[in-house]
Amino acid sequence: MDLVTPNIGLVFWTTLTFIILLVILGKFAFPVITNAIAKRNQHIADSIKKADEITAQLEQIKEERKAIISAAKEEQNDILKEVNALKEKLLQEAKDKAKAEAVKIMDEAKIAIQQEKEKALKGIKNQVALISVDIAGKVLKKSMEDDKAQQEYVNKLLDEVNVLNN
Amino acid sequence: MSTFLNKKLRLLSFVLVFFSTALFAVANTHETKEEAFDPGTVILEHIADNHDWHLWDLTDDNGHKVPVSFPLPIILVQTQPFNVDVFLSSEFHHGHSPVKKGDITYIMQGQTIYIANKEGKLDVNAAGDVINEKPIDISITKNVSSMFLVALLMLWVFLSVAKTYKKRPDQAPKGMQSFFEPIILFIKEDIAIPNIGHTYAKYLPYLLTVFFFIWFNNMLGLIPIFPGSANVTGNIAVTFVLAIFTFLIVNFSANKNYWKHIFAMPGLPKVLLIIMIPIEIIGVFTKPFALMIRLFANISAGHIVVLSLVSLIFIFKTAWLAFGSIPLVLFIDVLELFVAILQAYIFTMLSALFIGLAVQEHH
Repeated sequence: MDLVTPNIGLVFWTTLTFIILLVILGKFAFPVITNAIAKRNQHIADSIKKADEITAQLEQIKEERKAIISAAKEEQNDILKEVNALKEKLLQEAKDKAKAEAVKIMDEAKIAIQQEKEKALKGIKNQVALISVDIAGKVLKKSMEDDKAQQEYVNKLLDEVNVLNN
Repeated sequence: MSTFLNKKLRLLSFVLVFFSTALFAVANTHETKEEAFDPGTVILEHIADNHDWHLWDLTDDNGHKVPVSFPLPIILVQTQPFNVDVFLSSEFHHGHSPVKKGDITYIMQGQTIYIANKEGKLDVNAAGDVINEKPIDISITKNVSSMFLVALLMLWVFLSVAKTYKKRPDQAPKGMQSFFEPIILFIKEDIAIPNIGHTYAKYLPYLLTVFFFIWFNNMLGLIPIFPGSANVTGNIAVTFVLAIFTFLIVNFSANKNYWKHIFAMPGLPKVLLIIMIPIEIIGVFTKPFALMIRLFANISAGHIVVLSLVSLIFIFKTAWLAFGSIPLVLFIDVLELFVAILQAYIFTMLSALFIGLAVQEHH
């Protein structure tokens, strides 16, 4: 049975060929390939992990940015409020001052007017007194032109004095 | 890219199968005129190893059949006295003429080379068997040269794939790399690791080499024209060597548990050991023996079926039968494409399993 009898030559060459293949491929091909695949798998795993980390970091940064923006807005509001308050205060102060100044000016004006008025009144009074004295004199002079009238008047005056004395 | 490649490969294999069977048919129709067609002999010749790489036959002017073949180197070694003769197989003229080297005359009968007796003839005993002395024949036969081709192909494929991995680290596989990567990973992750366990890395190069060696040889054997068609993995010598490798690896890496299991199976009455020890020892040898026979028988059977279907044309002496037998041949060839990888897988898987049994820590 040639078919099922291993031929020594073929056994020899198969052994030799297979050992050479095993040594070369087992040293320079298969470990290189499997290591490269393992390394690549590691690289992919690392990359995914890194990407996840970066995404998480980005999320955190977003949060932080949000917080910073809202804090800044708050601060802006505060500052605006303060500025407004200050503005109000300054305006109020200015108004008050203006008012006070106005009141003062008015008072002074009033006083001046009063003085002027008084002065004028005084002048008028004197004038009136002089005029009335003049008129009285003239009237008196006229009425005293006859004796009777003089007598009557003296009597009247005397009556008046009497009334006053009583 | 890979689907394109697949399409190309499919087309190529189809064309090869079709063309070669047609070629076979043409070459042999002439032959049938002169002698009766004996399918058994033809098929056995085809699946056996050969000292020539037969291409086709021509019929000369005298009506004689002249085989056209590549001559292959014949290497003959003798130990006493030590002597090596190397010459081309064409010197035998397909076994028709003896070859004289120094004072030794070699005669090839069938594919066996004998040393002629003093008269330059073969001695035949009463049963008709040649009883002449045989030199150690380590010729580069058809199977050996086909195997060399596979070895070169494997070296080229895997060294260039390895180079691609070095050149393009951490990148998606490309071309040939993407074809072999899933197969390599399959052997690693679905054969080596589940069967062997954490010490798998030591055995992975062997499993990968044996898998691709068997697969490549099977595939090359399916190509019916040169440089294919050699029945390498369907030769018992080749499967014998591969099985021996598995046998040696299993038994040299076996741990205490493995030997204890053979010589003192735990939990068994001492009396039964008398039966169990021989059974277990036989088991050590039957495992690789089964590996050897399985691969040899499966691949040879594939070749025999294809050749038988083609032979039908010559048995019935009508080319019309080709319409029946060629589609069947095509069907079997496609089936054999599957068997080629299946047998490589089974050999590798069982080798891994046996290694795993030998190195496992405990049950």
